[in-house]
Amino acid sequence: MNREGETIVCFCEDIAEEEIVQAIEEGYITPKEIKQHLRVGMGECQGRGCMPQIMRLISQKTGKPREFILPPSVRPPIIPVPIGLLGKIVKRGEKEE
Amino acid sequence: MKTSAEVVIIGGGINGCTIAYNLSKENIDAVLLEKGSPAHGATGRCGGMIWSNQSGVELTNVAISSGERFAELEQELDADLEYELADALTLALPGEEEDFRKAIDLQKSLGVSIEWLEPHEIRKIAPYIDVDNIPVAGGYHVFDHPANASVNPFYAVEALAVNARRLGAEIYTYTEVIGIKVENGKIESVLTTQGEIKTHIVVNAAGGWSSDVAQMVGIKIPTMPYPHSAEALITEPLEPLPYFPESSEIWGRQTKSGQIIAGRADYIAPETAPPTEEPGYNTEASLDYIQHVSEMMQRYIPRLSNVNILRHWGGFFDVTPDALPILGEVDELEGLILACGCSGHGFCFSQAMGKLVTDLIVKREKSNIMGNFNLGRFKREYREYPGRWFGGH
Repeated sequence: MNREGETIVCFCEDIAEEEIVQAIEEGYITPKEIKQHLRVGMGECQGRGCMPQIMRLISQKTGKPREFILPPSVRPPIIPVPIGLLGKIVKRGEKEE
Repeated sequence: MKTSAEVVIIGGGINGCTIAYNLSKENIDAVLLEKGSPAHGATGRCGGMIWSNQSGVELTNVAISSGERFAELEQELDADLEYELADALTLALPGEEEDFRKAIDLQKSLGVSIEWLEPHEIRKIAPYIDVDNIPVAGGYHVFDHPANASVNPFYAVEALAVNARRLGAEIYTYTEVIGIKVENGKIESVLTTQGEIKTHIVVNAAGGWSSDVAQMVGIKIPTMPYPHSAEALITEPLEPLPYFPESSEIWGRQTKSGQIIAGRADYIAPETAPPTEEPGYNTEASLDYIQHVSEMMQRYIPRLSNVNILRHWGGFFDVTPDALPILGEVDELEGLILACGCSGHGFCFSQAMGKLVTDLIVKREKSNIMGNFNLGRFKREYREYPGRWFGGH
């Protein structure tokens, strides 16, 4: 896709500022609704990169003060963690330590 | 805000939005009230799965008809729902073979394409599964059947809501119901935080909050929100696996985006759940859970150990004492229709529930299924848990 001249807000899902603004104009006015609508904040960065900008855009477009715009719920693990680190594998016949 | 409507639907999850869409398709003037944003409750926390392995003929039929509707939705709603047929592979652990044979016979008799697989056959179609270490006694495989599929729940709710609005329904988010006015045994209006709406028909599709809504008109319905095992996690996208194996320990699917969404499937009835498990809306994600599921995912598919988990979240099930939905009218109050109590199958059943409720309102048509899922059954003798919670494969 040609993204020339666009400002990318969400690098994980490849979403431009224009798309965020359009979503706000369509009535998706909270970070949570925009997340569910465009998948922003659901990729590898889990919103760390994009959410502050999305909250700023919501504030600009709706006039709601920035401090009253809450980010979506923070979900663990805060950074991506490999399955092998989280779950210890126990082979059949071996005893768990 | 509108001041009157033919039907007021309470709850903007998959059931409420499906009913709003179906009613507006029939030119019924419907209003939907949601206290948060769409898919704010269990829908937004679910795995988006449709599966035909249900307990009993009725629920299996509900799942099949719901799956058949889901298969048509993308085209009908002109939206990408990330709908994908799942070639489901469910593993039988030692001792479960007989139950599996019964489940296969039941589904086969209702037209599901399903077959039993021996361990060596599983090894052949899915060599990445550690059949020996799990250990696996066999399994079944469902192929090309609409009752086994994956859908993105956010996209489904959004597309249903957008289309319901296009056809004339009004959907009010951040609008909480605070009361229901009854006069002479009939519903007169619904009071909300944004104003009053006159109506004679109220559909209670409030999921985990449905007993609170019914309580507003003095009707007790025995559903409670139950958070036990209602958690899930999702990985980063990976190469497509032909099958993600499920069992009585684990559920999961690979979504269209390549991510694996999974959780633990071991079912614990409320009466045997640990004492710390109170009913409620606790949606915390626990460390125990993510460790347990990671351990299982690795035991089932060793090569997943390098795959990252992106997100882990909690939810709750809207559970009834017999784990069957509550559907249809109530004897005590004219105009109240219940569509709740799905006990962890709400997303899976939603398209069938939506059709049954719509037929009841539009054609005054009651199917036999409605009788069996009626609230009145709790006044008679009923079996505790003939159904299964989500996950009881």
